[in-house]
Amino acid sequence: MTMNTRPHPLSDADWERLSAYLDGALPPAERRAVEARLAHDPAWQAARTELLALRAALRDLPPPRRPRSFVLMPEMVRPRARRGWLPRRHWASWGLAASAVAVLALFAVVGGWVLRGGGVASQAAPMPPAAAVAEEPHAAPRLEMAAAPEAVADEDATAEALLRPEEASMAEKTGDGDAIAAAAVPTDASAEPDAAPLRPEGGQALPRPEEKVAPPFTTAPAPTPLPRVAEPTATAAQPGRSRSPFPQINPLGLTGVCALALAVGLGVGWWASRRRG
Amino acid sequence: MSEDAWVAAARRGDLEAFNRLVLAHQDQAYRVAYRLLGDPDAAADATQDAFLKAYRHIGRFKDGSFRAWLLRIVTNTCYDYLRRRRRRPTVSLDASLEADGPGEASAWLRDEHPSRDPAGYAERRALAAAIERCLDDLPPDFRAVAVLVDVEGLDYATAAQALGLPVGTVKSRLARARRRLRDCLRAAGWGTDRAAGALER
Repeated sequence: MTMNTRPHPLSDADWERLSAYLDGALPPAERRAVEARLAHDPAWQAARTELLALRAALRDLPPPRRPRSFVLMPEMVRPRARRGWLPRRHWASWGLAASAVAVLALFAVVGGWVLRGGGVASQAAPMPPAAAVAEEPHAAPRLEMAAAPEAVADEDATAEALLRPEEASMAEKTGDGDAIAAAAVPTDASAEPDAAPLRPEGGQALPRPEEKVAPPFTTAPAPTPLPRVAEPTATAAQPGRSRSPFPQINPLGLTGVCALALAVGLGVGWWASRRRG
Repeated sequence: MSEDAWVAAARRGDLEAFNRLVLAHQDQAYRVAYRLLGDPDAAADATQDAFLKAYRHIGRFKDGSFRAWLLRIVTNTCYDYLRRRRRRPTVSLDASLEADGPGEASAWLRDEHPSRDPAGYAERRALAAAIERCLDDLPPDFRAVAVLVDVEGLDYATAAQALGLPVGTVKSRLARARRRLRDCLRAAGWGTDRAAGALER
């Protein structure tokens, strides 16, 4: 018996009746009526074959393999009650936000204090402004230093070849004039006979151009370097400490205070999350 | 201990007792979730969610079939998943049908040994894949009835409880689901003769 020979398909009501009959879900009277139809109606017989085959095929579906156990662990069912005025899950982020606010507030307070304090300090002691002025020209040559070796390299092809790999690696930290200058030294040494005095000069080249940028390289720098070596190193040590216009208050103190504030903020956030969690 | 005793203990908050119920029902719960969602990962998530909900709300379980009560939570959880998925579908329908089709069936049948009748094995495998695709094509309400009664073998009363429907609705919905499935299978080249032949091998 195939689909193609079905004379007339069952109505929806009959199909439903037959479907329920095959599941044994019909009351006795209806069941007998269905059996009477099935005895001599080819359409009903065909439908019965279809339904039985379909049901068997569905029942035959291979079961999916359960990937894991769904047994509940105690931590999964811990009561979710006792919520605070904020969702508990967000306490970690609230702690972070609180610490960020604390840091910003401390920045503001300390910053204001520094600005006021710096002004007073400059009036009281004329030293700091002087240092700041001395600092200004220092910063600019520092940047030029990065470009300086290129100028040297343009003059000398071999120097260029020497510099290329160095330049590439130094490109990221342009402030690192010392290393580039040191790399440039050999070319100077090969070009000029008095390489010995230049070598230490090259090593300390960083602070040097703050006074005379162009002259030392282009003209004859040889005699001057030796006595100057001590001087730039002295200035080199100082600028590091007095980079900001407010040299007295700026150093480690501010970052220390900020770190402390961050620690306090994080601690408060952690404590709050612990207490609620 | 009977299931009633475990249920009673679980209602008093005894997690171990509840886990006895989990062990007894997790296979079927997962199967139903898998059939409704057509995706192993989502089915596992839904099953776990359902057991958690069941544990939290077991006080609401009065009497009758715990299985039916649990399956109701499972099907409702799956409906939620389906609704969420429909809101922001991640895979196109064609792609998901492609992914959920023959590949899945072959994964289930891997344990069977096709050596005795390779052709018959392939035929049964193809039939299973076709049925799955047709089940996927059903609207969720119809699919749920077909899964609970025809795949899982629940009687109408239990299925009605599990779906929160009157028995009469289960009966009519099941008949319509079966008709759609038959039409779908026939359209896919699976007439009754071929399907019955595949099952006999």
